[in-house]
Amino acid sequence: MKTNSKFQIPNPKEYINHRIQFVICLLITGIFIPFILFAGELNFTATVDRTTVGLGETFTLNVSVNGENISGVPAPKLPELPDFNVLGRSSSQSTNISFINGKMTQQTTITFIYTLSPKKIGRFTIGPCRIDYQGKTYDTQPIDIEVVKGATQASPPSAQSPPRTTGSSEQGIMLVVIPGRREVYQGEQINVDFYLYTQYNIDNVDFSKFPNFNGFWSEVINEPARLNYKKITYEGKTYYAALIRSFALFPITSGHLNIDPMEMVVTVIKPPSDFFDFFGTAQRITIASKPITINVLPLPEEKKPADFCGGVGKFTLNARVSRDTSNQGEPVNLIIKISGTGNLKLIEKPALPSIPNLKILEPEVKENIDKSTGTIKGTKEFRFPLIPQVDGEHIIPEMTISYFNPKTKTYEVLKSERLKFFATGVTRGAVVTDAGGLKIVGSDVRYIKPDKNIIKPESDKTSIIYLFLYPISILLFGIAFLYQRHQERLLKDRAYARRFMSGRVFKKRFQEASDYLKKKDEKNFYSALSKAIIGYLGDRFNLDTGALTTEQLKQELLSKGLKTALVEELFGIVNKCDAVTYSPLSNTDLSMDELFDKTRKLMESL
Amino acid sequence: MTIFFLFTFVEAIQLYNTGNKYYAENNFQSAIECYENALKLCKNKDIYYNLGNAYFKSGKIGKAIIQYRKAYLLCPRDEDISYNLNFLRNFRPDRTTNIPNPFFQFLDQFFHYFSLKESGILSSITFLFIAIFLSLYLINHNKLFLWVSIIGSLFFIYFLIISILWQAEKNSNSAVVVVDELKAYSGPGEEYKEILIIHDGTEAKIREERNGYYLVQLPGGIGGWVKTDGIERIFE
Repeated sequence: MKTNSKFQIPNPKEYINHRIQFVICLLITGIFIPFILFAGELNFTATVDRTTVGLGETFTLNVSVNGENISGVPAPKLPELPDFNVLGRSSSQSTNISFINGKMTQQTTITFIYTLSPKKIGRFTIGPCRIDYQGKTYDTQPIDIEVVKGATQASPPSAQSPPRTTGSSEQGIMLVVIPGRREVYQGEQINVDFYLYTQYNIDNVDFSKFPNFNGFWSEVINEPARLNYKKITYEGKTYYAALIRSFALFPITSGHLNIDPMEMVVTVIKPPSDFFDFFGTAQRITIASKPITINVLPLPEEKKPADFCGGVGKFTLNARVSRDTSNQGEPVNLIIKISGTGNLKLIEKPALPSIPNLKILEPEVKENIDKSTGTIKGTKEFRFPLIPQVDGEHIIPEMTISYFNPKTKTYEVLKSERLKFFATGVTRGAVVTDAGGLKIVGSDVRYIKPDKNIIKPESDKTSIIYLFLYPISILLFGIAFLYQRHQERLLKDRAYARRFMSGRVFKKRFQEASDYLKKKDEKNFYSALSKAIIGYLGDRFNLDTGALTTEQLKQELLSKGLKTALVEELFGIVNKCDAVTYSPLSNTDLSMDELFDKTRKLMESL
Repeated sequence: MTIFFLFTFVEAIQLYNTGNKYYAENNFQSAIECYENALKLCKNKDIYYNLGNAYFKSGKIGKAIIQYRKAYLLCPRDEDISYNLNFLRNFRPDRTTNIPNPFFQFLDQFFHYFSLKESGILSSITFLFIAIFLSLYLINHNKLFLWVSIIGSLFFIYFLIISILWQAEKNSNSAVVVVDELKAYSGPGEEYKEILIIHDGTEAKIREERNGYYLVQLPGGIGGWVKTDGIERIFE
């Protein structure tokens, strides 16, 4: 009650206070909205992937925009780059959303990547890149680029400045490739070592490019962090030899496979040629190894088992299931683990036999390769999810996998053990009773329907005949409705009832008149005819004919919209009838029959 | 014309019975061919049902589900059809794990008691029935007629709801995965991120088609773009 009265009679002071508070609130919100909106501080940086570039090479310029809640950042405006060609551009965006104390911050980084290529040698500066964002202009730091002659990286030598390719053994420096063997089986491991032989001091290895070993799966097994020189004698000369890199190669195809040359750019210090050249001269030279050929033998085709998995080496097999029980149809993983030495990566997934009541899905493959000892070894694991389809014990039979052992030159077979697990809760509502009784051991779809002698086409569409029932129903109801209204008006609306009955009453009286006509009863005929017409007009237009004179009746009828000619003619007949009725001696122009027909025609037109 | 129809049905019967024979011999591939040809001549729920079985037996869960759904549309009261459909829904790799609420199950059965065709016929007949009794009431103001027509209109609404539900199901672009494994991407193309892997028999709704890819939505609301050849519409 109290609160009610308070609302009804507002305290003016309180009301004003509320207004002021509201306005202050509005003002504060208004002041802070821009801060909330533009809270994202923009971080705008430009970087290059390297600052020393060879002529004819490409490098990338990354311009990144980083900030909170940024959106709609335009592409940055690059500075004038007269000394570079812009070869391509792309952009990438990454968003990092974090919740701290319930507040969401969205850190977005947009990176615009430009691929540039220098036009000439020299030192150049990439000017500041500029971006306009929400009315502010941001600039990046300029970047210095040094363009040098020749390649600092693998690149096709440009025609204008061919790099000095002077690497040969005569000059006392060379690259030597030493394969472990020259002849191997397909899939068997061979080790290939790349050595640098030199008679000079190496100042710097600028760049080295290894072949891409077409036809092999390659793994780096040894890559010394720093070159370790050893004194050796090669072709009668003394060299310092250093291992650059060792690869383990697994041929994928058979035949004569080439290992392409390796290239390297080194800076050597040549010994002084005369007394005044005290320190010797530094010289950049490119050296390359000779290509070598490996003869790869195909695996023997005869006696190749059907379950050959592609493995070449020496392996063991271990199969197990991840769990012994499965509830409510959870998948159980069948883990097949192949471990040993050889071409693990090339081992294909074993083909599992189809096991009744088990759904086998595609396996997940895990590899674990150890290359520390120079021979590739490790494990390859296939995890097949098995989904039990029925309750009960599921048995995975023994499986065999074969591989080729290049040492014994035969195929060897690995065999797994029989595995089993127990599934429960797959078949919903399955009743497994105790001793005796009903026992559900499996489930399947119900059997097909029996053969037929008669087949009838079935359609999902309702025949159009039934659709016609709707308009018919509505029509029916409409008729009933109109009838009901008519009945009601007959009872309630006197004028309507008189009008409705007027035709029938007239017919009755007209019939009477025609009866008199047949009897040649002139007096009664005329009186009946006159009564019929006047009565009909009275009923039809709901007029009290007894209380009105003929003239008044005429006026009423004309006001109801009847045509004057029609009214005149009707009253002509009535007057004649009246004249005959009241003064039987007077003669009529028309005979009784003519008058009768005329009346009928006039009434029909009404 | 009638003779021609009769002739084709005779052929359909022959194909159907031959299919049954192949099925009994476990030659499901030939059985599938027979049933498919029979269906070209005459659509019948029993042919759909047997075809579904043959597909299931040859390991094609998705195709089987399509056939059962078509049969179910024609005859929802056939227990074998609903049993097998349910069985496959529990059998497929992406199973519907949630046990349905008995109330909703009852509602589902209640509103799928009559087939689309039956509900169409029944609703038009009840409509006529209502019109007759309302007319009678108008003419002869007997309250009994009014009550009969009110009860009739309840039936009419029931049949109408059934009709609408079926029609919605037919027009909902329902589709079923028919390959063993189907990858769903975040956009229409392989270059987009892979977001889902769905398996044979999974029912989904097709939302959109673009560049040979469908945007499908799974019952849980998740979805993605899949290649059109991995998924098949139930009602063409």
